[in-house]
Amino acid sequence: MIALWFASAAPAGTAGLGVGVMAARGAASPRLGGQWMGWASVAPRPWGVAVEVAGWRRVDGAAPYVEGESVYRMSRVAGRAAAFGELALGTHATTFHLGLGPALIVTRSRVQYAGADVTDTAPSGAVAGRLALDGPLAGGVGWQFRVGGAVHATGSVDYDTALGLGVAF
Amino acid sequence: MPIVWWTVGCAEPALPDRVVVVQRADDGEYLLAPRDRAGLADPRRLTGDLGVGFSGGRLRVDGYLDGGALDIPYAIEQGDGVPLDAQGLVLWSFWYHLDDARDALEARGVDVSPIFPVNVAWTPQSVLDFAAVENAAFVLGQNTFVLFPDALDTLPVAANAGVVRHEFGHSLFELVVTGKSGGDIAWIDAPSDQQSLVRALNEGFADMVATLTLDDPRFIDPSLPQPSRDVEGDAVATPSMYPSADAGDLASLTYDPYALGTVYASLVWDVRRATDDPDATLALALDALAAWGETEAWGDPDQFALELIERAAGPQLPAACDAAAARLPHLTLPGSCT
Repeated sequence: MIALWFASAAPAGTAGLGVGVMAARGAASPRLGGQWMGWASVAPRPWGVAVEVAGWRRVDGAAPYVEGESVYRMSRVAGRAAAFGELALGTHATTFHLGLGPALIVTRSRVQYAGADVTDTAPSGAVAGRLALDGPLAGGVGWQFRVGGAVHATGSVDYDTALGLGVAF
Repeated sequence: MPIVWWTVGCAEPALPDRVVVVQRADDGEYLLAPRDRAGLADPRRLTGDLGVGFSGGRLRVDGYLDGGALDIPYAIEQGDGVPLDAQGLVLWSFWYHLDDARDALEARGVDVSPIFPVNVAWTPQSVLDFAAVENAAFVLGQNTFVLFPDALDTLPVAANAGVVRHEFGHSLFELVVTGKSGGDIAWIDAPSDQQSLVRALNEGFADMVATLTLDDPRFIDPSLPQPSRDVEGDAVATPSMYPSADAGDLASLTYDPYALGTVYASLVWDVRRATDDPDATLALALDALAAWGETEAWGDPDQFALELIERAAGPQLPAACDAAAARLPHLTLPGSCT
């Protein structure tokens, strides 16, 4: 069986767009939010490479408990680009990917309070990992399901999962 | 390349001169305003002269296992540190409310230095009886504050100066009653009903610290309006507020210590109203609590009221006698009240 995983024919790769859920790190704990992502993966088994871009937006909302003009409104958008070196295994059409690689996460935060409007853009290096399944559907259509995470340089961790459709080649 | 990116992320941000936090105005309203950063050496980690902040972790009977450092993002706008998410705003606000609580007690001549440094644990897992939302608590024996997220749009409890002083009051209760901060809890081996009664007096004393240092009888209202906790209300002790000695451990888990605690806090607030002197009233309450602690009468928190009367001076004495008669009608008052 193990030999089959290594030796069976497989598509060269997949690419596409997907949506998912991101548990992005707040000051102290993850907050759930929607996520979009794009990926491209080339996997001449048993090795592969993949790149991903992902983005999410999280609104912390306002702090309505303070008086008058000092109400605090917060929102945050972030993007992540990651490249993975992967172990790619599978039988027939479906490929299992176990990837690890560097990521760059850029977070843009906006805070409005007391008449001030503060924006801040912060890059953060990270190490990203992912487990993914992908393969072809009919007519050259490709799919992917993935779960992953990224450990920021600061030590905080993001988690996400996504399902996507695209092309198989 | 990964090393380069990692380095980018590791770059420590500049330190602001001031930080934007939720502050309590003199009229009791809450507003956002910057204040000097002072002892908060590392705003990102919530670390400074008060102690260290942690994220998550586990709260166990034998100690807090921290879940790692906090990571509070902030920007600097004209020298002011601005937290970039709601959690950071609440955590910074808690820090400065705690700083103010410490200063308030020390300004009144109370040495609270043994309580510090403390841990500030955000959303730890716990098997203890803490609700996981809308809550802040102090863990006796562990010098640890635990904070949980808020589910309501009201003032977060950790950003409520009164709630923070209440929780700080628990740490002061431990210090005054036992003479130390942290370590074994003196009444941990007492029967469960007696432990419940200590909890009641502990909650009452914590309310005394909050109400008297802020001179606000309803400090909790901006977060969770609780008329039953109003120390200007009609709280009077009834037999049902005292747990039965044969009720068992299960009853202690469901015991409400706040009802009887509010009676004690209201009694002391009555003295403050009659004398119009919150600082002297707090000093009296501290003396009485220390005396009660020396008796180790864990099953008799009413003894606190008698210690209060014994130490009351001048106009405090008739005020304390009247308050005890009204709030604890079953109590036999000493001859000094007649």
